Amino acid sequence: MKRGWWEGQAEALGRALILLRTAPWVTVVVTLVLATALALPATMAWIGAGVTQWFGGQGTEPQITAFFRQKLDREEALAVVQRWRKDEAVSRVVFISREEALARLRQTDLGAAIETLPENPLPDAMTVVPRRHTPQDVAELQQRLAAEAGIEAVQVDTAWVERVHGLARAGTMVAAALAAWFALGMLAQTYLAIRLQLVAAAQEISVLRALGATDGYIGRPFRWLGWLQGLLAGAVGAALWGGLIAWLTPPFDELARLYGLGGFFPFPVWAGGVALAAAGAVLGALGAEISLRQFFRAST
Amino acid sequence: MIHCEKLAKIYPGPVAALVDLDLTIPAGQFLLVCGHSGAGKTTLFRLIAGLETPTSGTVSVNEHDVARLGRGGLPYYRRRFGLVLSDAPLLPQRTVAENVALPLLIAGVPRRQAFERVALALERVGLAGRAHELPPTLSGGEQQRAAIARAVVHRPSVVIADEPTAQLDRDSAEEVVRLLRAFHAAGVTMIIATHDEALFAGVAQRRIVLAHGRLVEDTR
Repeated sequence: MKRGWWEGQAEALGRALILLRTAPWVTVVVTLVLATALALPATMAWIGAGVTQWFGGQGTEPQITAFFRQKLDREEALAVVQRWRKDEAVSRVVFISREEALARLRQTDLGAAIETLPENPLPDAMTVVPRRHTPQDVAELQQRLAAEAGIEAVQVDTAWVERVHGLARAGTMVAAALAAWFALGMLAQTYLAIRLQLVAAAQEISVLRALGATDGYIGRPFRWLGWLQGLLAGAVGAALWGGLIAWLTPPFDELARLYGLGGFFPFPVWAGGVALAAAGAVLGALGAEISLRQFFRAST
Repeated sequence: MIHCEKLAKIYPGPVAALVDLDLTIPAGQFLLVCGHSGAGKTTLFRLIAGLETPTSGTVSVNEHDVARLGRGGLPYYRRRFGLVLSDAPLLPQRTVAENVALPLLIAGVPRRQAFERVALALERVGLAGRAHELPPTLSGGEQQRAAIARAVVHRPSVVIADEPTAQLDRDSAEEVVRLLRAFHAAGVTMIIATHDEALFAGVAQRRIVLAHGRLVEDTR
């Protein structure tokens, strides 16, 4: 009678736990190295996502101001406003009458100067908020508004939009590069850890081979070992990351409050923790697999 | 039946461990392999058990060439053998029972069933009470008996033992021979290397002598 797949896996898992326990300090050090490699880029990604969320929030969205021609009738201007409100590239349109604009101007430092003018020099205007905030989308909308017959001039501060998107893109790329770099480091570390275990178990492997063990049977505990080591590192990494976040959240929240932005909470901590533990397990298993394949290829 | 034809093994150096050996071992035979150290006994055993590949020549079992088995087939071929070899020692960090269970677990026998058979095997070699001890705590004779238990627990068709009585006192050595004889009586082919031929007098059915890698004597 052949034993089941589960029994074989359980036996291999037992061997892997024994291997982990055999050198506890090596396990601790390797776990800490791997956990740091996971927690650091995760923290950067969390900060990057939070900053992007800030600048993507209300109050900081790009606005295009379109000034109507001075001679344009109010009715015609309002018809243009109505038409743009239905445009799918536009989130919302606010009409600002020349009287309203003058009233606002009077409340500024220019108020006294305005009073000296014989008549209201300001045209009717509308502010247009694009639905999509990428520099390309904003520029395209700006061009379409400028081509509108009743519009005299269009103003948009595209520079800051580009700056914010540039910063967010750079931050995301740095976080991604760091994540890839640290993932590679984690793979190399797991590869090395499993390789050392394989070398330490050389006599046992030789005996198992002589007794008829297949590469699959020999490698199974080491596959579990890589998986366990990665999962352990992922769990410790998640704890480290959670601690860092708990420490960083109050100052970031305070910063957000000072700038009138929303709270700093890019994604739930538990979700990040689970993702970290899963990433650790997958990278650990992958590192073990590479190590085993190379070991079996080199030995007959 | 094991058949070696023009079997040769040359190690880097070059050192000719085995040269053009022709040998046929019928199933069920008790074969004694004699010769000085370095005569080629261990190399012959490793080649027969599929632990090494020959430089030239063939080893075939029941007319199947071992060299054609490939990496995937070799482990299953090796399971036909029970080995008492110096390069397949008892694992010091596993208990006696766990060591003896290895061939069964490797072959996929369920754990409970495997350890029931281990208990029987250990009882047969007189080590029932030492099952949960680690090999280094056993005497030389006990370790050798545990190795024999591991070699026969999966009911192999061939047992290969390299100097199974070396470094044992007379009583322990005779006990080992008695065990090997009992397993041979059950139909197992025995291929035994020894320096102490007298121990196997009346047990071995055939004796070959190797010298410098060549077969120099074959008596039945």
